[in-house]
Amino acid sequence: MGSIDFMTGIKAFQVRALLWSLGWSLRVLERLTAMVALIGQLIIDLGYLVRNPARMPWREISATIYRSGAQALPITALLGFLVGVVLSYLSARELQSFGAELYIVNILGVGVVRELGGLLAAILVAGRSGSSMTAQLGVMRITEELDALSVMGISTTVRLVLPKLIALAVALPLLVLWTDALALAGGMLAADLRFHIGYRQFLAMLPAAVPIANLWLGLGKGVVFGILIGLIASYHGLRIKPNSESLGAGTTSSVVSAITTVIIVDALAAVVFADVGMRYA
Amino acid sequence: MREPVIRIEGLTTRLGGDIIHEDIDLQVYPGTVLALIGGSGSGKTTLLRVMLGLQKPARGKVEVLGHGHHGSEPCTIGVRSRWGVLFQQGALFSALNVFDNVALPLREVKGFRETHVRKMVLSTLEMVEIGAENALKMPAQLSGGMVKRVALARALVLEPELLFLDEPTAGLDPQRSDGFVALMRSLPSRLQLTVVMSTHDAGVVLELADQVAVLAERKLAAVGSVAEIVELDHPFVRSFFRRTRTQVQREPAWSSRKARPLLSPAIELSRAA
Repeated sequence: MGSIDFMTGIKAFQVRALLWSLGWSLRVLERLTAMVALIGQLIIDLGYLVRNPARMPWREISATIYRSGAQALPITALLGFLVGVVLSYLSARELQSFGAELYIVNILGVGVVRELGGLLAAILVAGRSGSSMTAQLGVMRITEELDALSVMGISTTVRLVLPKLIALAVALPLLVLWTDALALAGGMLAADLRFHIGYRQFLAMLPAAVPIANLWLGLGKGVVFGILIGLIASYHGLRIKPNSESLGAGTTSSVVSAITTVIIVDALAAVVFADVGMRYA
Repeated sequence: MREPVIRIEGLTTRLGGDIIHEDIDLQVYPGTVLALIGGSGSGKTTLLRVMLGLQKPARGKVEVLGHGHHGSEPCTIGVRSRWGVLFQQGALFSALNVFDNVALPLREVKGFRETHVRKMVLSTLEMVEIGAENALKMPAQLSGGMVKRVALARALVLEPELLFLDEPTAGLDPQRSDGFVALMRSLPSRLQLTVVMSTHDAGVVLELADQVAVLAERKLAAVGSVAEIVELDHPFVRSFFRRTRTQVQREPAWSSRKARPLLSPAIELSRAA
């Protein structure tokens, strides 16, 4: 009797697990479909704007570049500089034990220009601007502003989503460049204090240590990260339901998804472009 | 016989798992001022949203200004520029000032030149009694009554044929509500408008509407003239008009118009069981 109950329990558990997996898969499929629909709509809108350049939302684009790019300069500068200092000090101990102090330029240069600058800037923009974009769209849903646009026949994606994507695709590579510069400055300062490698020597060694392809790779990733952050922020913003709980949940999901996606794409890029811009002895 | 501005046939609407409307038929003819009334959760606003294409019907046919949106097909931008909508909270764009809010449809939908936009915005603001000195104020600096008036100006600036009002006096104190109703009374005859509004305010129905549709228990319980509906033996209608029943005899404010078309004769004044 006991074993029959046990088997029934196992079967019930299996059925529940199957139903849960099915429900989860359907939810993922539904979200993927919605994301593909949004991307499709944006491609159509882009085509429309290419045919009608006078309709390009320049004001929204420039406002977003200012808010997401110019206003993020101080925080990215501070973090970039400090990460440069930390990286330089951490590497110093290991390099000294091998008598390879001069390689600090290579480690800092490649690490910052190829990977860290872009990643730092993208994570900051995802947290700072991505959340704000999601919240903005969410509040517009709650206050019926999105509905008002729709009933007037004004495209929400042309007016609100596309400008965010274009602005982030422009602003993020510039922020990457800025973060790279500040991180290298921090690293240079630490290298000077620790190894007495002067600024001039550091800067003279940098072009040889870091092939220019690394810079292009970093900037290219900045463009991709910008588009992804804008897309994810807008997707979550447009899905927010007209209540405050949904607004909070949507904003959190937006930031978590954007940061996770950025890191996944960065890892994929590291594998795909493993041979680009690397110098082998 | 004139064609209806709005034609709804066999409409069923679902929100999540709940059925909001079931098998609703409604026709609204040009020049009519139709009030949708019903208890909380009866689906007045949802019915407006279905008419506007913001909510997909589960079943049935909805045609507005000759263009249908049958669930997945939203009507075209051309049609949308022929109607105006006043949302319950105004839905002014918080990032734009009063002028830019009203100018938005002129710039985005019509692509008018700035000199023309300026003229039209200022004249529309004047029509809704918003002084030019308020044109540069942000929505957050406006009172509730002013928000409604600016939102009305935005709804009217494209000179629409059809105006949707969602709870036009909700959130206004009695004085501001009276002022808004007085403003609204003057508009349809001046602008040759057809108006569809959802409201829970019996005073607004008596002051503005010439036709009333009652939503109850997912169905359209009754459609008819104000006088007919007031006399209806229906629990919701009785409680809705209880306080203002004595005002019914007075002349409706919009009766001065020559044409006062009725809803389709096909839609009988039905009485709920």
